[in-house]
Amino acid sequence: MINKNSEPDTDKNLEEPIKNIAKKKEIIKEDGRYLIYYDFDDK
Amino acid sequence: MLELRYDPIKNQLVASATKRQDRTFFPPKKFCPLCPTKSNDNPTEIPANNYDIVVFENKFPTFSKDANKILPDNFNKDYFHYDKSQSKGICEVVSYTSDHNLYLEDMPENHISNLIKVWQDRYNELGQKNFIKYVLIFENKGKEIGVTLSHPHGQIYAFPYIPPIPEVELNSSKKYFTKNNKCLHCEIIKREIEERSRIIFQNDYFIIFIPFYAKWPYEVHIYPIRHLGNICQLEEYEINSLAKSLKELINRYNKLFNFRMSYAMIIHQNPTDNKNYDYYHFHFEFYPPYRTENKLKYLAGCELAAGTFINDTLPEKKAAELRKLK
Repeated sequence: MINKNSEPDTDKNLEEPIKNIAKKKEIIKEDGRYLIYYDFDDK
Repeated sequence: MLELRYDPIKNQLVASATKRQDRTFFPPKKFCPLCPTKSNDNPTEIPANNYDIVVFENKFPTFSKDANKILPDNFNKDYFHYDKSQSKGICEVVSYTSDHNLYLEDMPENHISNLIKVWQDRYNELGQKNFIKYVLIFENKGKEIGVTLSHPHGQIYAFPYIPPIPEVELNSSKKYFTKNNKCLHCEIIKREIEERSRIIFQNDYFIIFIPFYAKWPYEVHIYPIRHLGNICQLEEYEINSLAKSLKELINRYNKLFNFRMSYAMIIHQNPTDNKNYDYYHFHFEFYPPYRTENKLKYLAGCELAAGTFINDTLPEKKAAELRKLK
């Protein structure tokens, strides 16, 4: 097995960033897990 | 404990995630972890008091992004070993709405379109990570499928390897493309349109049918008619059309036996390992477990031991049933 934690996380080139997402907000919870709010303008 | 163990006999990896034994099991609505937090005395997974769509790391994951060991690219399946690789990867929960009772099929089409945009964003963001080779977006719905929370939600597993079923699909697609210079899936779509007997409905951008080779009585596939490898390639008008198609299909399922149909919904897309998969065609697959109003299809001896599915029905007859339910 190999350890890749020291490598950069992202160097791929997949798709263009996604458009049309009004607002994306990431928080880190107390236990270290991330949570992302996606809010849209079309309500 | 999270582990990946290799089965050298079946040539497959098996994931162990022992913490999942303790996951929340059908809590009362007032203790639903996917509802917004309305009171500090009863915090849920989601601190905000309202939200559109939320994605968060699964509290009971099968893979962890913090594991410091992963399978090397040249993981050798040809020799016998008892290594216990840690399960580096990411497991996310997608809460579709803050409304505990608003199922996907009851949502306004624009909200389903927004959910599809979230799926696009997750495929893109997770797929960018070096240790992620495959992003599987899926929804398990209903207790018959094994769901433990009733709040409308789906999941995303970002795998550190290409799992075996997508791998088989990719290999078949590549082989056909190499030999015929044509997409296997485009050819299937063409044939389904010619024969029409298995199509449930169709619009300008998507075709919804029970495949000729369906394993399950009401197994339905949704394909974009345009040759696309992943969900991120959808244009706005296709996203809206897909939202409408998902809503219509699930509502037809619900009308079939006059109850909300349980199902596993999965999206098969290009892997994210930076290789060329131009020959692949992304699609949705739906697996409802019912074969009649009160009988479930179980995987038993022949399916488990031989790998041959026995479908108790004919796809043409089941497609005709769903076609009538407009």
